[in-house]
Amino acid sequence: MPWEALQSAFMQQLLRFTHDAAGSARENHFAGWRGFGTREDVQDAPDEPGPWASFRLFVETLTAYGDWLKSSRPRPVPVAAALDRMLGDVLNGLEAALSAREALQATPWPELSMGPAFGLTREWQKLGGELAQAMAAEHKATDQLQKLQWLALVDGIKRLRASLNDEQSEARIDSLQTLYDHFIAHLEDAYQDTLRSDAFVVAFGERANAGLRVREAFRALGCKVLPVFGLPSAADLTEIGRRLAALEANAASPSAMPPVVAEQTATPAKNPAKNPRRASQKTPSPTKPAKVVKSTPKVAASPRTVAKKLSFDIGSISGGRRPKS
Amino acid sequence: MAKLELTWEQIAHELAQWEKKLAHGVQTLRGLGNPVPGGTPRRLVFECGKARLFHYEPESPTVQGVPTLLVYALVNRASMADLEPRRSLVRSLLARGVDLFLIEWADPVGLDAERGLDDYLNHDLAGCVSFLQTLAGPINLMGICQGGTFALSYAAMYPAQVRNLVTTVTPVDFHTPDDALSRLLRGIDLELLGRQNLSGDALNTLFLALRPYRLIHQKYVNLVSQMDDPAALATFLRMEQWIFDSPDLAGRALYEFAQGCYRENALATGSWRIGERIVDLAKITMPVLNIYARDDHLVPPAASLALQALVGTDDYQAVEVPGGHIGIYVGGSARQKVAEAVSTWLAART
Repeated sequence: MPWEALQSAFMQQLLRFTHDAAGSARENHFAGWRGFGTREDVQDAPDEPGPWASFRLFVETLTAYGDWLKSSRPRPVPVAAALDRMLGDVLNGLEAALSAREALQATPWPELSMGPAFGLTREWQKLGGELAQAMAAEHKATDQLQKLQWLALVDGIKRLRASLNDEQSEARIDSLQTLYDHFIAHLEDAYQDTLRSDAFVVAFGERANAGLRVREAFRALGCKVLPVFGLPSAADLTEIGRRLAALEANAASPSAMPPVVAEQTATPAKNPAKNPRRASQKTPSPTKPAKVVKSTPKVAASPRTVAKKLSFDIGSISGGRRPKS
Repeated sequence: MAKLELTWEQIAHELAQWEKKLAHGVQTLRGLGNPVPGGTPRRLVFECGKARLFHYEPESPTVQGVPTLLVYALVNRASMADLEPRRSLVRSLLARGVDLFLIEWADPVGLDAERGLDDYLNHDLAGCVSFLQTLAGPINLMGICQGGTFALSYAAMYPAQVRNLVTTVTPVDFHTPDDALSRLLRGIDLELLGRQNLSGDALNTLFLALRPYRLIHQKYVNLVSQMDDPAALATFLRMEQWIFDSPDLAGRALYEFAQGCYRENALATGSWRIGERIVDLAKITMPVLNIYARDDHLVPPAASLALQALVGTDDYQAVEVPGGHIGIYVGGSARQKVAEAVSTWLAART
């Protein structure tokens, strides 16, 4: 089997293995790649499932590659023609893969509609369902972004091919390194043009936002799971922060009412844009340089006491202090 | 196909050479250990909130009388300014007589998610400046990238405390047409982004997405050509360590910076508010040196050069340095040019 065919067969086996391992939920992610494996010359690839077939093909591919290197025989086809043909094959493969993705994306994603949660596990149902929905939305957003990235790749290879066929060009490519740099330059140029498009900005933003929603869903689930194992959750940390802030404020202003008593209710982190300023974040006036130094013992001493009570190192959130050294 | 002048023998030969270098380089890599950035002698002299103030030991017999405080960004670490002895902006400045202090920001923890720019600037940075002022009066303030934006903002809010201001690769106008980072951020829900600390890895993913083929692919392939040079490999490893050892960003500070600067362009329009103070760049009346990188893909030159029209000083100078956003600090001749420009300019005003 020629080296190129072995490469394709290897890729096909690898994708089949990863697909089987990942399960059908990741169907979309591999559909495109599978387009590479539709060529006739790889249909005789061994139908041996699992990693062993992939490994065997990998070794055969390496061996074929080594034999090719060792032989160093003059190729029957000039490099330029072979490269042009290879780029044509790559473009065909990519476009076929894109079509396959399009076809798959035309099939709507299974809707993870959530019914009402009830019973003993209602909270787990709700949190798990929200996480599943967020992850499904993230997969969908990833697909949209990847599609644009693939289109940019196709565009880049087309540009490279056109450049290599441009007989007016005075640039010389006389080494593999130069060819590689040329290849990267065209891919990057095409990508930059895509990056500047409104469609990409939207897709990138949607992908990022979907990821952030997964983070939120994990956080909410974590707040439920961690206390089961006796571990502090984000809600606990928020509450500790609130109590420390109140104590710091109280220590800095002895005459003030102790706000910690009034703020015992545990609440999750709120929108930072809307949160009221923490009392401890009232700042020393830089127009009075001595204040930072003078206020240091007062600010630093009280939190240490608090830290002792809470067995918690608050050095990282304390106010100005001189290091002992 | 007139351009391509390659033969199969040449390709085979080049690949064989490449593999040889790769094999040799792997051996070299094994002997290098784990080089890390930094190393110039320094002493921790003060702490305030998340700011740790270091003083570098002078290396020149004559030291400038006014201390210069280097403010780094919250993104990545300040060790980039002191990557290794032969690529250290810090050493280059010390050698030219600059009395150098540096603020390193401590990593935010979960409890710091609500830490905002008011805390970082009006408390932490202000505390460090106040500490230095008690020693020497008004100081020289120098900022790198986002640290430059911080230095600018601080100088605008407290002009009496800053004698001279130096900004390097500092974004001022965040809405220039060639600002890819600004464009990408437009689609992101910033309120959602700032609810928690953002991991350094997530931020690096964003930076990699700006130039994926060069940063994820070409950089590593081209590394092979340097693999027979242990010193070059060690530099590469230090850079990699620096690039990917990114601290998390405090959620609120990130939100405020992204919303105020990138989304609203409030620094350029004079409407940026940090805590209870408005940042009015027209109040910057001290001398300003603005250094920008000609090939900067993160902070395009136009984003930095907008500063001139906004500051209130007549003593303004812009210096273009050939190189990229990081290259001007670690590249040989570019770094020397930066150090020379800064030290000469400061010496004339100190």
